[in-house]
Amino acid sequence: MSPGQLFALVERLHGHLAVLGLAVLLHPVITLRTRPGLALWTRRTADLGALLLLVPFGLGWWIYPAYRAEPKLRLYALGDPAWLWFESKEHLAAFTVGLAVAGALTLHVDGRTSRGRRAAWAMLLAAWICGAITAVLGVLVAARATPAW
Amino acid sequence: MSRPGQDPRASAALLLAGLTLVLSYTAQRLYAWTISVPSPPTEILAAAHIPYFWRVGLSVLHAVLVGALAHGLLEPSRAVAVVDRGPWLVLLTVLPCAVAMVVVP
Repeated sequence: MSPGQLFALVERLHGHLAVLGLAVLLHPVITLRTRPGLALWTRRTADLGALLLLVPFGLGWWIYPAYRAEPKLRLYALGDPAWLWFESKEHLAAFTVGLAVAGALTLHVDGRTSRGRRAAWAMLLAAWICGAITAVLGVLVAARATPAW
Repeated sequence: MSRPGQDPRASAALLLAGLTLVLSYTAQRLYAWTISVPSPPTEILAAAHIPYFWRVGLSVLHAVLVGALAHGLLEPSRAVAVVDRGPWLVLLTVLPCAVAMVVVP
């Protein structure tokens, strides 16, 4: 497998896992507001969502140097604003993972109280919104950086 | 003594840690932007991944420190007050930081 193919493979895994994580994270975001108390599956999906966002963040971290060396440099040289969109994507991705992990852990330590659930919900919601914007930017950058033809 | 699942100091610590990560990262990026000068592409490549890794690493470190301090120093009543204001703190912290990070890529 060539380096470019490996990069493309990991990049796609990164994107797909991140979108899956966002989908899973939507469950506690909704159920923390619609259900009384803390259901077991709400806590599990918060954990799973945070983990599913942490893994692609790690994958993105791994391919980051390669991205900088190839696609980003080309975008920058061509004057394509997509390279700036990626910068914003980086920033929001860090917010997403940090808030998702903090929110999921909050459910563990204080999930039996309404205040703890509210605080966790706020962090998970903020993580989801930042993650959704990150995903949109990521898709746009990927489309500009690696067009089909 | 807090019961399992009912620890306001721990949840306040996590809340403050999460917000500290966001604030620290934003502050670092804005500082870098204010002192930056345009670089040729080769320099961008050479220094490429280091700033981001540093920003994330330092943000995590700051978050852990603030969380640990909050957990150790906050009285339960203060912690409850912090957690009660959680949604507003998240809104007032994350929203401007996220906007800043889109405006200043």
